[in-house]
Amino acid sequence: MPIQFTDKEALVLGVAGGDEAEALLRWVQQQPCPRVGLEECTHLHTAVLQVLLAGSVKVSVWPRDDRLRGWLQSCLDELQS
Amino acid sequence: MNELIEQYLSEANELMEGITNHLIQLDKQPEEARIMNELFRLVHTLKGNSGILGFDLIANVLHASEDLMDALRVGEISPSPEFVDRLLDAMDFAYRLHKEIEESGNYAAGHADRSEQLTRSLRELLDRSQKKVFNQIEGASSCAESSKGEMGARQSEKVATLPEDKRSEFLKRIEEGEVAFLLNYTPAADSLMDGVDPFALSRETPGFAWGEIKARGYWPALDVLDAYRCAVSFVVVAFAPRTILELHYGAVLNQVEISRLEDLVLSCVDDSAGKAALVSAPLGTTSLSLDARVAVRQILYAQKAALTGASDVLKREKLISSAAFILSNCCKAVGNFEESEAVQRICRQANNGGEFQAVLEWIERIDARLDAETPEKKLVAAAANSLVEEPAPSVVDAVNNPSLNGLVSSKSLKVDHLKIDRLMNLIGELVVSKNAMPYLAQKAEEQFGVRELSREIKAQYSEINRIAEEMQDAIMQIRMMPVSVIFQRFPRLVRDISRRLGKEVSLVLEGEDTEADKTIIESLADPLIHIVRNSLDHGLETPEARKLAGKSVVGTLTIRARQEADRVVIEIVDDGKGIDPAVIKRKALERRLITQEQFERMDSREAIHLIFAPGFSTAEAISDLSGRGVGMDVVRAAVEKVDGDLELHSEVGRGTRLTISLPLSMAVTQVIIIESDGQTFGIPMDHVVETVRVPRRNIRSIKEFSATMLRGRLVPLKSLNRMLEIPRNPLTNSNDEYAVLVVRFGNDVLGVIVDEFRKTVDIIQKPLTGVLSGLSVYSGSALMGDGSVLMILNLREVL
Repeated sequence: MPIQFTDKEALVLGVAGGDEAEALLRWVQQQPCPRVGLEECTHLHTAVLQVLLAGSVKVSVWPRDDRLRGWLQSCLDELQS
Repeated sequence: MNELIEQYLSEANELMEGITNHLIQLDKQPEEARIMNELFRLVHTLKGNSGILGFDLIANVLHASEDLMDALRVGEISPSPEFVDRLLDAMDFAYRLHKEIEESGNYAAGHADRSEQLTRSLRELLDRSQKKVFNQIEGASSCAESSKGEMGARQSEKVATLPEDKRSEFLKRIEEGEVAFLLNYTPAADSLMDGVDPFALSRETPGFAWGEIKARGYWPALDVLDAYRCAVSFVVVAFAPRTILELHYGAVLNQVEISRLEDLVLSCVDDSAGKAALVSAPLGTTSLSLDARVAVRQILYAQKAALTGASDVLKREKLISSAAFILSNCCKAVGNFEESEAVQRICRQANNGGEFQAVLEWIERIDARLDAETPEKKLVAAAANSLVEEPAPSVVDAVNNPSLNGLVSSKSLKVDHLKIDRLMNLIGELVVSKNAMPYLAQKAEEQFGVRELSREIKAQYSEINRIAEEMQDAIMQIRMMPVSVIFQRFPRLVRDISRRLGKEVSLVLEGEDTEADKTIIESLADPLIHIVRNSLDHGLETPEARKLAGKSVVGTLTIRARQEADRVVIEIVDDGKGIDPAVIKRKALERRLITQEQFERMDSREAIHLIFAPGFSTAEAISDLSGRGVGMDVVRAAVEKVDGDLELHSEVGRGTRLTISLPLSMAVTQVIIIESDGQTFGIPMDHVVETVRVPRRNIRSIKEFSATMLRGRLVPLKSLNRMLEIPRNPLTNSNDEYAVLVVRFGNDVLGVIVDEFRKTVDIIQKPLTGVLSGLSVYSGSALMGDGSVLMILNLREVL
């Protein structure tokens, strides 16, 4: 599974494909304050990305991939802890 | 004229020369990227400069030229001779308008039509060529080239969101010649269903440099969210050719807006969205007018000078407070509130600790940024320097500060030629007044009997003489110009004419760095152009004719310059059909330029020189190039006006060689002073072959002419008195010998009988002005050391 769901956050590993969007959406709907760890993430499908945006998901760790990180930082908020 | 306009014109001339030269090179090496980049840079700079000064008619045409060159540069279209022709037309137009600006400060409004016509033809050419290329690209949709302008306006808003560090990085890369595009990809709502991943597509954009994801509106509640309905868009900056980008987006190209980043940044200046964007630029100076940028620089320099000039601490504290006030307001005025606060903070800290170095560092940093942000930085720096008024003492201190010196010093200096002419006149006066000193020494000795003083004056004189001579030499050096100044027009001229005539010509230029005085070089320009036109029109044959004659298809036209003693020699050699003396003679007879008698006696050398006779034209059909019968005689007159000689050699079927010999400089003329009927005249030594004494008995009279034998050669004689219509016979000396000055014009030798020879002197000839200027028998006058005026005879006219 490219996305691992824990109590506190969703961890994206490698490429999160379009199929993952629905599962992610369901998980986000259940969370009062959803957060996502993207350290290992190398790509998010546009649908997955839209879920993160629509659900105002906070990012706990940004991707190691600098370029992806640049893209995502332009639209996603960092988790203020 | 306004100083800025002067500066602009002087730069514009250089830029236009560069553009023309590069266009000619491009014609020869169409695929050379270096040439295209350089061309683009030159046109871009010229466009910017003309736009800043409000010369819109020029700027519009240049803008269209720039677009065309840009399309060439990024590979959207490929070069063809037609491009070069259109672009050269545009440059000609700009050149004409610049001439008008130079003469009257502005151009006539009547040029608007031509400007529009040129702009339109350039745009049409661009459109036509782009369509051709686009049609070749598979899957290219109509979107790519449609409504560029309208798209650009929307796109420029996107520039606003570029982060500051990225923006300056991109601008730097663009300035270095790279090409960047801003892409705005708005995927169709159902594109995810079609199996497209727009984010992946955007991430993989070729030449990707920066990207941003944007939501298109508010997100719906999660329970009604359709994650597969695309509601985001992507903004990408990519450094890649447009064609590659279009190929990448292939199938979804109609959802992508592609604009040149550079255009957007530049167009930002006008629209409000862009202005907002530029506030976040380092100093926002790209949006400032030239005047404003010059003003910012001046403020910076003035504050820097004031701060470095302050010696005691108390004074410095006050200065820092005032600098904080001025500089922070200056930043606010250009819309940079961040730096405004920064400088206030720095100044406060400086005053608390008393260390003002930080303030200077801030000024230097901003100054450097101003450089980096200003495309016309040379212009701005120069204007700022020239506008700094009478330096206050503190400014003088600042100039001595080595860190500031770098801003002021430059290896070469542009000086108005009027200033050099003034120097020239002054040195002329100095030479004349220094020549009065020997007279003074003589007077001291003979009239007042103080020998000691006389000797001292002479010693002093020799010193002043040395300095004056060196100075004169130095000033002459300033006036020297290489012949390349005129030679560089020829590649263009030869290309245009030979294309029009359907001839193939290779132009060889030699000795371009040969130097001569400015007046000489300038006087040479028009005659040379005429000669080259004639060579191309009448001399060189068409490729077919050349083939038939067993010559190589491509004709060669060689223009070479060299220095021979104190003269510059220019040769124009072609390997064309040559001049047929029989044809020339017949034409001259038909046109009644020679009599039947002359026709029969004339040798071939004399015959070919008939082409210099007024009203002579050999062209069978009158073309727009040459052949209107006003040609070579004008050339001869122009060359002779500056004391030059023309020599023509031609061999039928082999080619023609025209040699022009000109003096290196006209400033100092060596003349021989002669006396006739008690008056003294000067005759330029250039024409004098020798001075001889001829006994009266050796003079033979043939009808009304007289002549004498000189070393086996018959020399016709003329009396100066008679030529000047002085009703006196020439005098002889005690041995009954006449004084004869043997002069040469071209190949003709003539003896001029005068009363007496005097010495030879170096003089600075002044042209006759006012009423006297109509006297063509005198070429000018000169002031002698004793205060008398010497009239210089124009022997050509007198004869």
